[in-house]
Amino acid sequence: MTNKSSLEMSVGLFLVLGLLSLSYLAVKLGDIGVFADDAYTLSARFVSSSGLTEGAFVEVGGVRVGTVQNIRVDFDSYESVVDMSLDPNIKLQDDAIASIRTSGIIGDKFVKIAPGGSDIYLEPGDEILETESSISIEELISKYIFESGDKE
Amino acid sequence: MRMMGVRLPLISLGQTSLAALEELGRMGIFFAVAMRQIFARPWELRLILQQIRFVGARSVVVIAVAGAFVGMVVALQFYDTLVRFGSVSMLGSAVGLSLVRELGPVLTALIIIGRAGSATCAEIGIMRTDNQIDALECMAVDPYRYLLFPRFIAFLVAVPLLTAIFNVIGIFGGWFVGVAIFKVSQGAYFQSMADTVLVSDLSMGVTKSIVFSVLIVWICTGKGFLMHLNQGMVFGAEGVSRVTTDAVVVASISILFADYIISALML
Amino acid sequence: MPSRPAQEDHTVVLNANGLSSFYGNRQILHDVSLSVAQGEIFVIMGASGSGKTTLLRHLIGLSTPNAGEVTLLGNPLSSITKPKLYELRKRIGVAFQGGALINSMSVIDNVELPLRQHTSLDDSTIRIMSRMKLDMMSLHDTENMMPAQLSGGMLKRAGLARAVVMDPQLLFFDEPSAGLDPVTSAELDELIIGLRNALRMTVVVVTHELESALKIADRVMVLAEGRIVALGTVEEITQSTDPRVQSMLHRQVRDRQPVGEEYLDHLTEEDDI
Repeated sequence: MTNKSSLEMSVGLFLVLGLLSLSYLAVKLGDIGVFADDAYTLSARFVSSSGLTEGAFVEVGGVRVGTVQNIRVDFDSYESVVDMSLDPNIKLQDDAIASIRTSGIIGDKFVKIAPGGSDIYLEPGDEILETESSISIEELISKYIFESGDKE
Repeated sequence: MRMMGVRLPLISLGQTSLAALEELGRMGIFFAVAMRQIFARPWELRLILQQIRFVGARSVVVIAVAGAFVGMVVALQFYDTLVRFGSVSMLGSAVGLSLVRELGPVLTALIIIGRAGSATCAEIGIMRTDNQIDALECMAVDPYRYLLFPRFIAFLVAVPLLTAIFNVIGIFGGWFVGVAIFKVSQGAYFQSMADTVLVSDLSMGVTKSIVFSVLIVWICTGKGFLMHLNQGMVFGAEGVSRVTTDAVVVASISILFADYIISALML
Repeated sequence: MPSRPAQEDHTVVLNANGLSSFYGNRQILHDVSLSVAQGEIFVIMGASGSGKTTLLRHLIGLSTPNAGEVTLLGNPLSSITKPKLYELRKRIGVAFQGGALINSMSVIDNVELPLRQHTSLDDSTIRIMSRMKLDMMSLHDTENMMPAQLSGGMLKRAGLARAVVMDPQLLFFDEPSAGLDPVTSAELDELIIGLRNALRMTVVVVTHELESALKIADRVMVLAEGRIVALGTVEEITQSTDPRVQSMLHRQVRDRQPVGEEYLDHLTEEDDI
């Protein structure tokens, strides 16, 4: 009898330990369930979203509040439309500014949203109208070289 | 005479590849028959539990110790590299990604081959040479249902869970080196890890551990179960030890091969 | 050689017709036929390498002969489906040479295994039935021991207990006396006769021990190099004039030397790869 219950005991303990580890990884690292339940979606148009990937972060004031869900091209305007999934606690005004930034010089691209001053808040599914596209380092460098060349 | 010099290696090459092909075919049929036992009743619940205890519960300590040291050494190596770029705040993501995507699944699988896979192969091999498998057949007990299927289920359940345990312990091993010894900020360690490790990374790790578990149990039980069909097979203890060595080598290589394939497909 | 049904009962429970078997290019069995009647003890006798183990494996359906047909309790084995074969095997018992006990299970668990798998009896009934069979083999002290703790003779008897726990109609016994001392071996012979007399079991024994074969058998089949060299009652075998049977009866060294040219061929033979 003790033999039998000790078998079930050790298997049970092992299963609990394993499942706890799995759910720790899923919740802590994979963010499963953190924004999934009641996250809302906003979109934004950029002239270029070069370097931005699905799964990139959305930050407000340097704090992560969501992720990029989907990036597609608007075939009429040839602009890039980025769908973002956001923490429902973050309310954004209709004059908020979305810009694509790089963490560090060679780091990942992310979307930074600067809050606006309007009284009207964006509803789920709305579009952020004020945007700044990603700045490419190559362009910056070539611009710098051209300008310094002009001066000489 | 000169002809013989060319012919003999060619002949042996042909024989070897034919034998390998034949074995692959047998292993394939073996796998299909074993998996078909999902539909066979009754499931031997008690045997499944015993096997989970053997493969899973009794491996936890080894996996935990291995996970801790692997996490620590990974953190040590990455710290030494990252500190040169002044990006030690990325330590958490480096440790997390390498554990979850590669080291956790692969090292857990390799440890389980050594600890449980080899023992399983030897056990089944001994049962084969000692006629115990024939005896089961003669008692009208299907060895696939009674002997092999519980082991398939046990590996399939235990290996992914052991991988998760390995990863979690490894992450805290990395925390110990990074945060407790090198004074990287604790927030940066966990935040950068949480930021970089995505669901897709986790699912890659889980996919790998599931595929690895199937490979281990398939190769280790199959090699033992079919050992009487091998060409030039040796009976008795020597035969079992040979087939066990063979199973460990083949299983380890298959895992590294499958690891590359899955990484290439999912990255 | 034609097989003759036993005198007392004419129901044939096991029949083999024209069995031939190959291992690679080597022929193990040459056209072996036999027939075993209900209630008899039939002994298949032969030296090691005579093909008797292969024959046994064909008779219980563990392997299929290259030619010929085995009919077990009225069912031809060549065309049988796996579920039907398993149904059939519930009615036969097989005791293997080394006992073949599952080494991860205690002796009593081994003996109980067929009952647990094939009957819906409750635990205490199963235990009682298994203990009865163990007691019959005088193994009552060993029920909680593991197979690794038992001696060779005990393993054989435990294997026999497991083989008869379902009260099979037909019992196969591989090498009951191999590797045993004369006393233990004689005890096993008594057990086999007892099983037949008490439970009306038909018993097929495969052995190389002449003494034990002549003691227990109703009929004996002598196998040499895959061929039947003699088949008949014990008296018929002992009175046989066949030189191979005679040499076996008098424990002479087998005369293997081929003659003249044949031997030269053997020496100069090339591997035909």
